[in-house]
Amino acid sequence: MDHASTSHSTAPGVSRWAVEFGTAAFVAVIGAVVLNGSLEQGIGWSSTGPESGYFPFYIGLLIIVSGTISAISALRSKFRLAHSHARGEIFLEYSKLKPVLQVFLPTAIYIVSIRWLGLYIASAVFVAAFMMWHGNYRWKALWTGIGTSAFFYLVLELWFKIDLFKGPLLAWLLDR
Amino acid sequence: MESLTALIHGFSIALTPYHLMLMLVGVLLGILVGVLPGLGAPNGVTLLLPLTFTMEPVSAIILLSCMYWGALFGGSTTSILFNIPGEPSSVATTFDGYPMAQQGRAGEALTAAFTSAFFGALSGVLLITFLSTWVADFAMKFSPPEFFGVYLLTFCSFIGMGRTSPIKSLTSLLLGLAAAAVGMDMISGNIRLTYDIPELLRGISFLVAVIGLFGLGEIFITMEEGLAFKGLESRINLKVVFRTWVKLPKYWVTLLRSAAIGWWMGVTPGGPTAASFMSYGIAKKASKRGDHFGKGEIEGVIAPETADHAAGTCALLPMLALGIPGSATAAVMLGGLMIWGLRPGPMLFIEQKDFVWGLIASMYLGNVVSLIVVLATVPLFAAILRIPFSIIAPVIIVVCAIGAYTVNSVPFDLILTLLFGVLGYVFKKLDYPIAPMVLAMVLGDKAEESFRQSLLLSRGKLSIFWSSPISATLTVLAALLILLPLWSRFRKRATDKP
Repeated sequence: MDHASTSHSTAPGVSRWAVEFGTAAFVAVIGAVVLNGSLEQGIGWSSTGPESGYFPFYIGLLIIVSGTISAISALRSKFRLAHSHARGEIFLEYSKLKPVLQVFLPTAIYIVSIRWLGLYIASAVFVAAFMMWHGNYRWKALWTGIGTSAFFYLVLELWFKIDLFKGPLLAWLLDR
Repeated sequence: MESLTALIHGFSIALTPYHLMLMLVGVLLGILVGVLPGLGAPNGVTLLLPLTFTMEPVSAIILLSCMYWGALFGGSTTSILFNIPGEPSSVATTFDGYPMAQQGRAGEALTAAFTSAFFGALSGVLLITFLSTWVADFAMKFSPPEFFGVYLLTFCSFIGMGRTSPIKSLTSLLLGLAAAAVGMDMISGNIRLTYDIPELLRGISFLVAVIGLFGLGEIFITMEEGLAFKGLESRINLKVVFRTWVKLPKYWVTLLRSAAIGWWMGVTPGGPTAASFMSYGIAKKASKRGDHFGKGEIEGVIAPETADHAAGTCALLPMLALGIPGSATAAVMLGGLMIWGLRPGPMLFIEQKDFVWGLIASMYLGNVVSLIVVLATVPLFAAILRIPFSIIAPVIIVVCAIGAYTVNSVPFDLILTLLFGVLGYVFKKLDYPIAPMVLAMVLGDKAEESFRQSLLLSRGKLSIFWSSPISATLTVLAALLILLPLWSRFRKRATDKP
């Protein structure tokens, strides 16, 4: 699905130029990180031809350049806006921030918790909790959660013989 | 003639009950990911890839490519019935497909979409059948500088022909190249850019990136649109199908033109999305009924669908013959080829005849299977979208997480997926294209290798990239593609000022 667009409405929100600028700055920092890492490897010439850092060095350099150009053009659009007293484009309305965070935060917690809960337990809990929270389901949420994990156990673990990460909690439970 | 005998041999490989079953499974799964929000062809293929590691390569590629066809068809279904493009490349189908459905002509729109898609795909397979051997033969003459020239041309055509800002395409591409460089350097064996994080020793897997960028990123974007989908009812009966089929030959000019646009955009990595938009735009200008476009004109469905599928199919030609994918999904399949132990590139046509021609034959069969299956299952898949989003969303996220884990079986990759998900969300909203990044991650190592081997041959002189006629042509073409957007911007500025 492709709904990549920013709104032109007058509702308050995070302004687009700020996110453009932040992203461009982030890109430039990544470039610097790549550049630094390449310098550690050496960017010159060795008996096997160009050294390991040779190629990424120029990539890093170009990333810094392209990030800087994007950052400058974001700043320029900001100045033009300030000049014309017009409202700029909105990246994300504050009213839409909530639904996005409502999915992002549970997803982030789910992903991080896999480290301890393992994929099976974390997935079942995540599906069930998400359904209870967003859909006001009760028993159906519980069964869908358990069903999802059971499905992947049957298909991956038993049928295709692919081990999924079980995590310390399941190991501890099974040990007892 | 040589191609024909090879093709007949290919049919003998593809036409087995096992492979027909794989085609059916692939198409059904493809339609499913094409219909579901947050899952598309690139990450659908990515999610299925770990299951193919133990298969024969030819069976695996049949499964994956049929999933690709299915996803392309599935994307059109949601475009027409829900006004939601299931794939970026079916955005243009919503322009006239959805209005047609609103007027109660959903069956007609769907039949037109599927049939012209089938026509486009078939024309693409024909092109592959007769051109790929020739391209591969030509590419046999290539040495490292020529290969680097082809990579350069691929990268530059993304920047020059993309629909988004060139500097943003460039940024996306460069980030992909940088990500590909992380981990072990394939030539010297040095470990680089890992900053002492042990999990980065094996590098950043592009499969993990695809799942984050396309999967999680899409889900976050979908949430902004709210949780409910409003779809139109659809019933396809044979009467509607035949009535539409009778109408279609009238639009043979549009069909042929759109197929040609698809060929061009698929072989050069413009990709299916650009092809469908371009084809729609040209059809609108060329048609006598151009004013009616956007209000439910059947031609406005035929044009983007034909080009979309022709391009999607032709994207496999450079993948097979040169080892260079023409779309994000083809990039993932190319990664699969390497994992299965095949060496993509011209040698494939000599060393792996069964694989290549089995795949090409399966494209003919797979598209026939797709057309039949998609016509028969539209109501079923439309019903899936009526399941509340509060059930579908968490299940899709779980599928993404499990898929990301199965790539390398390391929990660290899950964190990477989440980070790529955030990046995908921000990039999509700011119109940074994502396909160049995926392409660069897949090709990065090979591009660097050919670059360094060339420099080794020339003892460090860059002039090697224009020393032979082929590499000189490629380098000049690449430079032209980069300069093209600059030139058009310059001209636009000149005309803006009176």
